Amino acid sequence: MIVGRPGGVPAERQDDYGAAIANVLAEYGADTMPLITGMDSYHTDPMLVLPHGTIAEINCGDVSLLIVEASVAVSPGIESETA
Amino acid sequence: MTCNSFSSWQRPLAKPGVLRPGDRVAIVTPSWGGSACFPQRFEAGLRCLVDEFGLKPVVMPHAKKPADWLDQNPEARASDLMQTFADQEIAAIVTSIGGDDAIRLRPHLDIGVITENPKVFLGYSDATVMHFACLKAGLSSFYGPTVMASFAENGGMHDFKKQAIRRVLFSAAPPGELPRNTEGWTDELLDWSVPGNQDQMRRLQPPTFAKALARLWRDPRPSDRRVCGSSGDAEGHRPLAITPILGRRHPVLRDIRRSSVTFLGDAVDAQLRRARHPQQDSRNDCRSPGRRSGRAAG
Repeated sequence: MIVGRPGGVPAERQDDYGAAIANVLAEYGADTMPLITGMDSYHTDPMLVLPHGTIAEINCGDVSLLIVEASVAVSPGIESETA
Repeated sequence: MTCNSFSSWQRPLAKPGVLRPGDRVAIVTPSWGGSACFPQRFEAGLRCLVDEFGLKPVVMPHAKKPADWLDQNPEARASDLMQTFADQEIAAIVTSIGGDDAIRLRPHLDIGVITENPKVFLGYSDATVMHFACLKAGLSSFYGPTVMASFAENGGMHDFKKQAIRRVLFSAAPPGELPRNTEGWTDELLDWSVPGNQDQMRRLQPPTFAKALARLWRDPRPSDRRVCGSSGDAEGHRPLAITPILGRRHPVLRDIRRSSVTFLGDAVDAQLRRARHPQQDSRNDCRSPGRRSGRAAG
């Protein structure tokens, strides 16, 4: 699970926000699910542009996110090149 | 849960065409009518689309109607959307701003029109409703800036965001590793009705992308519970690589009170209240969205 910033949560409470999500994951027995918080998305600026349904690679070690599949095509459609 | 349990909804989505300078981009207002409330903010966002990205904004007929009129006419908002998808001269669609009731457009959307006309749809927050419509149509859409809440950034758009837009929307190559935000972040709300604020940059907080998880939740214990095959599997599922990390509960978790997450519940409650008592709705006024909800615009 990757979450951005919700807006309105002060900088010093961002970790609490992430912890609250981890807490709920644990309540649902998902306490080993990888969780990345504080991504530059949602109610925050500057923000990323994230293509839905595109294959991505997440590395929780150095907290990186790679979009390995093209997000737009020279010709619109379903076929695509994957890196 | 295993990787296989995802397969029922996993399907390739159509990709829209790559954007190029000179492309026509339609501006729609599927949610809150902020464009008429803060026209100078709206215009600043349009200027960014032109000056930074060379796009040609086409403001749709109902995109700047008064907020209360748009509130009363969800079918007109949907009509703008359908028209933009059907128009072969339009390469991309960008939302004015978020809000909280785009779900009311749903009965007026023709999903087939979206399927037949794949193009870039960009927005965030309440635009999520439209992202689900795109998903239903089989189109990959884009979670990102809106005209007023991001393209119209105070003092000009941050370089990090310009890079992200160019890499994801203006290049047909796989975007690869997303750029690191080294500038910092902000959700500071500078009143859009105050002249002069538009040129004042918002105060940035230190960047955090790599920090929070590593400090709070990084768990060195090996685990293969969540690893999905990095090269696909025998049944042909597409590759999905996740490095498993999370595990140990941080001590602060025990101290988290329910109040930390109630704003999510509040948002849902507010939606339900509006559905039940539309006459008490205060959405159709021109107070900025941040003040209305106590949160940032969107």
